[in-house]
Amino acid sequence: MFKRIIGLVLLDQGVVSRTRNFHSDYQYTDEFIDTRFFDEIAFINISQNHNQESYDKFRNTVENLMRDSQLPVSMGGGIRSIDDIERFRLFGADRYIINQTSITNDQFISRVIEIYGKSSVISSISHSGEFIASRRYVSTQSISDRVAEIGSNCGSEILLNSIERDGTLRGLDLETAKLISRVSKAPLILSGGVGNATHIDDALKVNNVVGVTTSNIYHLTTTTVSSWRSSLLSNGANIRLI
Amino acid sequence: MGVSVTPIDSASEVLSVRHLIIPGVGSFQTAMQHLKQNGFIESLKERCLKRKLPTLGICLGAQILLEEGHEGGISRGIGVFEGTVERSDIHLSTPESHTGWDTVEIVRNILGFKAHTRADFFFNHDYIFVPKETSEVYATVHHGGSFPVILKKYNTYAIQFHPEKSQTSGLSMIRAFLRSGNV
Repeated sequence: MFKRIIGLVLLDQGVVSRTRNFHSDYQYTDEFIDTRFFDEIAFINISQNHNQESYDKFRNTVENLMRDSQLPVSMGGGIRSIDDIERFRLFGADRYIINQTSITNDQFISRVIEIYGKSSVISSISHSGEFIASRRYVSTQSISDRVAEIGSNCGSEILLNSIERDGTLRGLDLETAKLISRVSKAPLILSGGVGNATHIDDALKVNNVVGVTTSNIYHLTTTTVSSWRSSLLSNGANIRLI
Repeated sequence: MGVSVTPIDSASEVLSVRHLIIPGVGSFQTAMQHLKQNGFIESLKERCLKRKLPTLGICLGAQILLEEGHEGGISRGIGVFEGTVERSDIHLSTPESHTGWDTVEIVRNILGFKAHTRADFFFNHDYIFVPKETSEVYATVHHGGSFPVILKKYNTYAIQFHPEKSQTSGLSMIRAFLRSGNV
């Protein structure tokens, strides 16, 4: 199976946003994103208020970006109930990104898996180095412990969001990925820090890493995902030829 | 694609539309319960087996076309194809979901794809087809072991991957389906 380059699109009130360390610091028009050369697109609603207006705007942007696209789509941001999942399903989501950074309701996750299938759930965990973190604090709980707690309730994959690396272009946090690979067999998607094709190449070689997300890089450099794919393929990376 | 699409909500429409696509996300048992409650089972059987009208099941929509599914407990399927749908880890050497792009090997000519060629499609599933008739297998994939991913009987196609999420190769497969069965 091929490894994936996933386009991560953060939407604040429906506007494509750039973040650094999880703080939104710049906004773009959606014309910046060419979805054709990704393997999957992930949309996260990062609006402070998850009200009807924010969902309507989210939906408009998603529909606009995916109009002529036949790619798998994952969505997340504020999922706490089956109603939240149903809303994203109607927006066109194939898979749901559920934040499991802090203690979550295991019964809820089990219910989602029962209704939608294990393969439709991606668990998202935010961290700073080896510790669980949020935008506001770094906890003392190790991410390996959290992954062990979640166990098989993680769905099909775990999305590791490095807050420390987010928006820095310094490269993905491979050390934390390796740490988790030692305690869990769950397939991992690494997010936060991609600054060049080598960062992706290195990450895709780590055990259990099945994909990486890229986001800010296309706003900050003249590189395109298309040129990266060529360079990764010529280095022998196990990605699909588009 | 130049076709008009109508979501259907009654069993009679199952027999009246020219081409029927059965998408599917969710679990086998829940999906079958919904179809049963709405009286779709018999009309689907008639459409696929007696009238032999063009029908395309995708992912769970394909799995329910087999006789029996094991997701959410053992339950009966529509039974267009003989065989069962079972957890992939019983048959394969990998315990993980089959999620992502993978290379499909075409065994027999199907929907515009020639036998002995390969193409990449997007998969997202934990359960696999275990058909009885190998002659109904038109394509396979290798993921911890080889397993069938396209079944065909008369004009009914059961496709485990998502052609609608697989860019150009998927689009060409759907176009070929929409051309199929036209007189």
